[in-house]
Amino acid sequence: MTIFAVMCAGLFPLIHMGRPWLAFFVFPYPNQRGSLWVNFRSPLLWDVFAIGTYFTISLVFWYVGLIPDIASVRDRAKGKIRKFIYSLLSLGWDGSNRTWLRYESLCLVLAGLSTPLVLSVHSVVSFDFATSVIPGWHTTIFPPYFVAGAIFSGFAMVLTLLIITRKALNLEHYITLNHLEAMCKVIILTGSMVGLAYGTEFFIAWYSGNEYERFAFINRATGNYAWAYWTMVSCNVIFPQLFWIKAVRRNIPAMFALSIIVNIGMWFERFVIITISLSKDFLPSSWANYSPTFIEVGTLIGSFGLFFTCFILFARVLPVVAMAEVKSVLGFGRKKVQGGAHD
Amino acid sequence: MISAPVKKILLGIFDSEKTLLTAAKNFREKGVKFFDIYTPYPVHGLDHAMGLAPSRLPQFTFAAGALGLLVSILLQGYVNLISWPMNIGGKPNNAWPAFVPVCFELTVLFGGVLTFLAFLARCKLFPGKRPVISVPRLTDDRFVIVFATGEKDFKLEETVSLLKQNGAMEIIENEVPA
Repeated sequence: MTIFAVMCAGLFPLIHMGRPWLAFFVFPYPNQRGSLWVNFRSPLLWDVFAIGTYFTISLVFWYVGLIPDIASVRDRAKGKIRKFIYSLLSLGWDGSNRTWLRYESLCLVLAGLSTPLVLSVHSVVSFDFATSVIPGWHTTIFPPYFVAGAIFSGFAMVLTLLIITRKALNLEHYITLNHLEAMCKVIILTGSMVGLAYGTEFFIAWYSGNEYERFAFINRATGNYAWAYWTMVSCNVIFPQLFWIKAVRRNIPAMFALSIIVNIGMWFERFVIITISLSKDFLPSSWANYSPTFIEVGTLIGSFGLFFTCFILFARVLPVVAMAEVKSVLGFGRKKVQGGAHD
Repeated sequence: MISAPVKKILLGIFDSEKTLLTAAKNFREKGVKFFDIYTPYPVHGLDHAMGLAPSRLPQFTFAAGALGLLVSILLQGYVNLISWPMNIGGKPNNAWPAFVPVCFELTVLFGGVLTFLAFLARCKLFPGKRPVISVPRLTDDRFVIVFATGEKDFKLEETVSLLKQNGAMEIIENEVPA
């Protein structure tokens, strides 16, 4: 999911460049323009590195996790073409214990590396806003706030997809209600952290004594876009509190509905941060209301399309559950497991 | 026709993790050497039973990460101080706090990607490779102990009977490319 989402996210800066065929200019490489280098003091360049690294490491980790399972699929595949493709992708994996030993070590290393990457990628993205001077963007709370928001919306989106996937592919015995309930708990925690961040932003806007900052926040809550702000607050902070009730955490339709609400709320968070802050900046003469053109709506819908196409293709051709991992935990090969009961 | 060099092997096939693990321990106590053990998932304790040392990949990752850090410092230093110093708002060219994010990212990038490549190289995995041994359901639910029968002090009959005693469901003699 990360990989497909980053692919979609990567499209927007590309479109934004205006000359997407020159996108390679963002990389520092010796060239005949001087050598004219990229500006290492710009958060936009940090973004190139942060998102590039995040994407690469996620891709490697994803592929490494799939290798033993692709091998398993290869050994069962019928038909020459299928067998050929899975053979290539499985890299000749045969389950040698020497390989397993190194494999586990590799997975540990990659897990250790990708955890700080999650923090860094969202922090660096938030620097794009935080290092600017626009009221409502120029705040030091942004890095932790974006990280909490990312975990929050990430869990909600995974929950949405997981509920559909486990139903569609009959994985209810592997991805159980207990797993989903645990995810709901993470959503309450991170949702409340996001709520705390909203409150802190308001407090600092008042406490800073900066009138532009103060205006930006009063405008958020009571201005032209108050509807967007309050949609965001209710979707991200108020509705997820329903997960305190155990019956809600164990009710799949309720979970699904709430996960969609959180997704909507987090979309509105971006809308609130970007649109409201830009609509009324320092010069009243440049104040304006924003409404999307139909091309902008089209790119939004298109990015959804790209994401779901990739996701559905993935679910169709590759194992969605890490089989080798599940086998080692579920007491595989013992009679008890058949029929789906857990021990 | 010249035939490719082959290695004679003996396969003992098991159907559960538990019998495999006790069998491996028993063999190790008797001092019989394994060629390798093949399992569908990582069996904990098997590396110990096989007498394998822990992987050195983490040390490699540290070195690769240090290399990434060095590259990022040299690159940013060269670009900002030597190749194309730019006056941006009168700020110093060696604005090292601004270089920290890229240093961090390249450290992680080098660490992760080079460790992955080292893993592939060390395990000799590459696209188009054929699995060393292929037993039906090996990547599904079969556990296989492999002995190299060609070695000098290998006692075939003793090993076969030991395999039987330890609950091997099937014993196969086979040849693989050396």
